[in-house]
Amino acid sequence: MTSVEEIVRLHGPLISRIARSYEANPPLAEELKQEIYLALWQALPKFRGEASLRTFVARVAHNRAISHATRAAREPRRELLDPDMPSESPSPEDIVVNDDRREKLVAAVQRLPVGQKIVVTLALEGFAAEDVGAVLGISAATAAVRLHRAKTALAQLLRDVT
Amino acid sequence: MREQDWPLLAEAWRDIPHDPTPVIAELNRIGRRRWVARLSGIGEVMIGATGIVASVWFLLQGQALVGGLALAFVLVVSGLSIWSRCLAPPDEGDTILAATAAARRNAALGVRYANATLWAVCAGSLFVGLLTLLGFGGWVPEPAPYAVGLAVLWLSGWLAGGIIHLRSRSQDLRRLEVLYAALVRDEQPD
Repeated sequence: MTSVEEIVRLHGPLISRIARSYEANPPLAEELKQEIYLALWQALPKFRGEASLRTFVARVAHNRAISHATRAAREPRRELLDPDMPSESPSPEDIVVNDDRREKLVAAVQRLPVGQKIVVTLALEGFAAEDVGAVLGISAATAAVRLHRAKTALAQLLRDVT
Repeated sequence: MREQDWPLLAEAWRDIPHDPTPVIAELNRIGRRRWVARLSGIGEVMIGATGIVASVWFLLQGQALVGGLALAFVLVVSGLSIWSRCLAPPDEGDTILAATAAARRNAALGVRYANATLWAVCAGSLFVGLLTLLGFGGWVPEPAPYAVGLAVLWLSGWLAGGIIHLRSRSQDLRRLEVLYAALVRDEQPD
């Protein structure tokens, strides 16, 4: 039987990144992460293993993040990313370059419309088109088409934030 | 962006720092919050029971009109409350498309519930008004002024709650309809 602690250990980073893709404000992203853990805690007894645990976690995380975004839309806000985000990079030059690249990527993903955000975050996490389809509830072929469009939109946004 | 840049982007994405979260403490906090939600449900049951007892008391006193109207009102309001609590929440382990469809359906029901609440307040106001007028006319025992005041205060609070609920659920419904349409038609919302 899978526990929430086990999910946190195995998929905590995936959950953190999905939360950050929906919420630019770090404390609110942390709050969203907690909401996702709660949703997983509630949904876990219904997990029957039809999809992989990773797919299940991604579904719950995106569904909860969409609810969070729907609620947040009542009070629109746009805040800058935390410039003090800690880095694990080894050298000062790498810290600057890698942090800058990561922040631009996160900022671009946050600006994508929800439908494209879902497919892009899943693809960045290494999900294949079949798995993206399983999370969304669409066919693998449709997922592949959407992924192609979403990548184009992301490239445009990356050019805009550069 | 070229296709060969994608692995670099994926690598940068997966390098985003992750802070482990104290899950157990958070779940305990959430457990306390759910207990408070349960208390509010118990409060509603107690109000409903008090309403039924009061209606029966009126009936036993031979006040068939007042007792009957009060009983009908309490039953309608209690029925609405039970119906709203019986709505199945979206299954978050379901696919995003299915969960969004369920959330949209619940938001639509929430709008209907909020509208029903406003009509119930309307009925309640009518009931209090009629009772007061009938009391002044000597058809039923004249209600105490403090009782009428309390009833009006209660209806005002209920009205405010209904309006807030209607506005928030209507906004949710609009957002979810746009999102659902985007997911189904492969168009993107703003």
